Amino acid sequence: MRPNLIQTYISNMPVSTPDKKDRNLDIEYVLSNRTFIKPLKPRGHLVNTGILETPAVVAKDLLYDYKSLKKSAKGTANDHELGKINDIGMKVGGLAIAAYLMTRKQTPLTKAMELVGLASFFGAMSIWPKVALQFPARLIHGFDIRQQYQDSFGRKKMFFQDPQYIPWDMVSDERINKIGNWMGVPKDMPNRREFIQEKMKKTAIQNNTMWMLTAGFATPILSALICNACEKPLKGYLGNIRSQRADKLLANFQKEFPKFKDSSAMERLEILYSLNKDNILTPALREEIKENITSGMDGVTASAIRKDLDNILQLNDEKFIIDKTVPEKLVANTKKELQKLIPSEILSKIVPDEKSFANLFRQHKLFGKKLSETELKKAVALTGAHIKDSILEYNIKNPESQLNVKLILNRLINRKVSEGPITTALHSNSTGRFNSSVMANLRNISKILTDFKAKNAVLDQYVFLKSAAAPETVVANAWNEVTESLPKLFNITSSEITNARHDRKMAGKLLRDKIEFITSNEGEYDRVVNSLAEKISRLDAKIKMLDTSSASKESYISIVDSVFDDVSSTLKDSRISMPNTAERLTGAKGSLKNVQLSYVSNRLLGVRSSLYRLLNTLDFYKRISTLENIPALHSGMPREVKEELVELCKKMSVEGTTSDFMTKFYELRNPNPNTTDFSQIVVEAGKVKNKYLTREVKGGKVDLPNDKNFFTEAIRLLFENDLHPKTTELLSNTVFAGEVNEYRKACASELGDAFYFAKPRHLVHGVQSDASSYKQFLRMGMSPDQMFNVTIKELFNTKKWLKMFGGLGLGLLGVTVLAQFTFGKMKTPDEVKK
Amino acid sequence: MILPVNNIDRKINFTSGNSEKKKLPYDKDTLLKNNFITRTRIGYEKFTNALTLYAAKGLKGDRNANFYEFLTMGTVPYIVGSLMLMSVFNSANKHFAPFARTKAGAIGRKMALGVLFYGILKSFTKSFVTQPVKWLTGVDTEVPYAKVNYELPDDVYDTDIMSIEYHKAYESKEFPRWDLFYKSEAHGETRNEYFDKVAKKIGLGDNLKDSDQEVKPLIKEIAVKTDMAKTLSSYLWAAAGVAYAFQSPWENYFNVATLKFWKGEKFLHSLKIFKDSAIESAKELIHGPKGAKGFAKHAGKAMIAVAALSSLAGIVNAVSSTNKPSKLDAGDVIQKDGKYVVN
Repeated sequence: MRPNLIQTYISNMPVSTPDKKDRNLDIEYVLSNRTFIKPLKPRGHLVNTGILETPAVVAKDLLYDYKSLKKSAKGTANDHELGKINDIGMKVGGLAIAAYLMTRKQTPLTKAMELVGLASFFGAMSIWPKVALQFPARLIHGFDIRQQYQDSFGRKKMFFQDPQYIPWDMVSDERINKIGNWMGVPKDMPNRREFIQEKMKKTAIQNNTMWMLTAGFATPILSALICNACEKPLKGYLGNIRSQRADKLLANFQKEFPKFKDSSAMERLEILYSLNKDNILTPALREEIKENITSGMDGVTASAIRKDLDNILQLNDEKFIIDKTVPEKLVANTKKELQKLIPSEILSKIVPDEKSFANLFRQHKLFGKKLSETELKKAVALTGAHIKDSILEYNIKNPESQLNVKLILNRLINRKVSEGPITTALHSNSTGRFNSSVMANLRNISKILTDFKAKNAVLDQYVFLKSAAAPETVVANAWNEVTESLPKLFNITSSEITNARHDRKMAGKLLRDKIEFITSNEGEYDRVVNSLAEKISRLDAKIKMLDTSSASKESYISIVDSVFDDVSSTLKDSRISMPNTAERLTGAKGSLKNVQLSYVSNRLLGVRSSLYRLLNTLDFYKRISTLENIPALHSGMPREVKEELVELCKKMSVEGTTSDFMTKFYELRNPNPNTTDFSQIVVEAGKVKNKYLTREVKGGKVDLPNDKNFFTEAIRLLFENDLHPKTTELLSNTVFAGEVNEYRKACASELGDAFYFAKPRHLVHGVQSDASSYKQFLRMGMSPDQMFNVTIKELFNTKKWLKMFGGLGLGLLGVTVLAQFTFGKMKTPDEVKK
Repeated sequence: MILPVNNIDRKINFTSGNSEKKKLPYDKDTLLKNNFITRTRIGYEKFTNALTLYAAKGLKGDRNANFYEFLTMGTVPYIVGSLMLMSVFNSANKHFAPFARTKAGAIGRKMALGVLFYGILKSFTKSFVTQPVKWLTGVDTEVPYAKVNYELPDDVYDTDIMSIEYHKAYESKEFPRWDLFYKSEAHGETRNEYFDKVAKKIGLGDNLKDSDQEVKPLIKEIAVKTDMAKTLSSYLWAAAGVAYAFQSPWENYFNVATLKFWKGEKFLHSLKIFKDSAIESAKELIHGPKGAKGFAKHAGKAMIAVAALSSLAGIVNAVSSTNKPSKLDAGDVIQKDGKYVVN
């Protein structure tokens, strides 16, 4: 028989008699006033927060956190309050990380995603146990494993946090029994409540353990998935904000530009004036003034301004006086210039002294007189000759160490006024002074240019937000919206994405197959063209205001016109007289105004050409598929050539770029095609059934660079033969139908009539186009295969990631939920089983 | 009067029979030395238990599973989550096209390094606060102890009912384990030796009548303040660690990184580049990346400064409490044999 351990313990327990602490204790009194020995009524209760109460609870919890922090800093916090510091620290640290990483990101979306990442991480930590454990456990076991309670001291805790201390007294019999019923616990068993409690406790322990074991896997995955889901809407939202910000800039142009004003140049000019007031306008001072006024301008504009300033600062009646300071400066400047070339002992022999120069000017009656620029040239020549004489004299005396007279004089005389040592010295004492009238003129110029720079900065900011070659601009977002939809639009499957992602060639082949399928199916063609047209219309609506020269004074073009034209006419005014600057701003060719406008129009041309090219490609394939509107493939063309032409055009429309061999028509062809068969090509399911193209050719196929006709017909087939009637019908309701036709015409002339687009001198219409190679590049746009390749690659990466981690996340969720069915299993006592 | 049940001294055995007992390193609650070896051993034991014993007990729903085990298992999501986070940013990259792979790889590796630095700095920087507080006050808020735990037997034959838990003596600020700091007069030791030392260190003087009573409230205050500073500053240091990992010179290291130590030359080269990248990254963190302006230029500096200030302020705050005497009377404060001048 085993000993009863508890009984043994109790019987062996030492008996201790408590000391009588209070000899005067009146036990009767104490017993008659029992209230003081009663414990306080417990105030602990279960916490059940409804959705409506959540904001209040969150606010209360935040207040509790704040109080905890305060008490911790004072050293009076309890354990529960101190525990809150960890949560606060984690959030503060997380915010610090997000804030730092935001500084390393360039665009609003990437910056915002740092905050989303942080929030999603905390969100994932909170969501996972709710979704994977709490919710299924409630359904399966009938109770909340993450039930919270508030103790008598107002501390909120998890009910099942400590399995050795669960405050069961907060849960009524009724509720426990209800849970027991849900769990299927027999209703007639003895100690039913205890049994249910044990079962609940066991379930909670198992769930808490499962939480700890799965959270590490689940949180990063869930967080990343949340980020993925948030990225697109956030991108749209931020894009709209940027677009509205840009629109606001133009709408309130007059109010906005003063905010962009940088008056530092004006302030520096004032300082310069105060330091040099009524001083001689020396070359150095003039240079300083020019430097100041042109600061912040591009090089070309700056040189135009300098040219104008040179004229303005030349001062019509400016004279130069040779007084006693000039010879001093002549000697000093000359020695300084030559000191690196000639040893100082020789230098002192060849450079005449101050007296000698003074005498020279006196002899020629130049000393002390006001000299004009022309007269001053005489002084320069005299000075040069005087130094030359001195050198020659030295050379005679020192035949063993001859000096190169020409070289020395070149260094001294043949220099700009602002740089040459002699001219600088002779110009140093001018009647041209930095006086108030000069300053008034400069002040006016500086103000005009400062205002212009501010206005230009607003326009630049607008262009940057709308159409810069940068991520997240309005144009970039609109473009991405269209291209991201293409794989779905063209029904490209996951396996096709996996196979075609490697390079453009594979993407091109896939795309060609898809287009051939689409164009051979009426319904599909309608769907694809309609959908594409709708997306292009949406993009067009977003970018149209950039290049629409509307009557509205708020349009970009109108404001550019007014800003540049206004400043230009002011600068041309006789009181300012800056014609070179005005010409640079608004002149006919290469003016700053044209640059400002063409940057935007070129960006839009590239975007539109790329999308219209895709539409044109669809249309071309459709025409081939149905053999309609293809007069280029006329009856006078051998079928073999027709097959070659269609094959080349199909490749060129999908893959051609301005630079690759395809557009140079390096195409291997039969030099001796069959000239007996002039029948039309045969097409099945969008693909040409080639009769000749695939056959072997004796001697091999070659490129035929002189076949001008072949090039001409290719251009006609692609761009000049009418659109397919179906395409015309589908595009008829779009806002850009006319633009597509314009695009085709422009391609036919700018590409077809370029001097050397495909082959030299192959001009389709006989007249050479003046389109630049950049224009040709923009007109070609992005090739559809490249467009697809880029999109497919990104899509593959996203899908691959989702497959890996989404799959893992789903598997984990499945295992966690299924595990619930094994939790809380307990053997029912035998008595009840009977 | 209710007397405490002290089962330590009496060594009560709840088990029956003389079956072979599991040999445990402690038979009663024992204060341990706070040194590197002990901390490492405790960390190792806790981590392995969290992955094995506690996880198994928890999944089984064992009635002896307790809050300590649940908290100890908290390290599992920390470690697994860190590895998972590294994996989320890196594992799929090998399937990407070369250019995308390179781009994603650079970001992913920085993320992984960030996770690593976060963990390292989060752990080690706690001592930036606790050690100075220990030096200045004599209160080691991190001192561990082994707690002997008696569990309920699974059945009458279950004799394995003892387990060891590792706690810190000041883990609970409301109920610190003061009992472990008292010395045994029966063994010829001074009962309040520990409290005397602390009292002296924090300036309460020598030979106090009841140093334990004087010092306990102050120790509590120090422990609370230290704990707060330790927690907050460690997160800020961890954030600085992530910022450090995101500096571009690390990319030089990623290009040559290898852990294959058996490939001597390559491994040594990788270590050298690691050192160079670490130095350059530190410079970039402090001075800002090339071309950065405004806040972006100074953000790294600010992060380090805030973290360092949080540690420093925490120490000052914790130590400042020692300046106020609690319930000392003038007799204890004024040294009777000292010389005083009254103006």
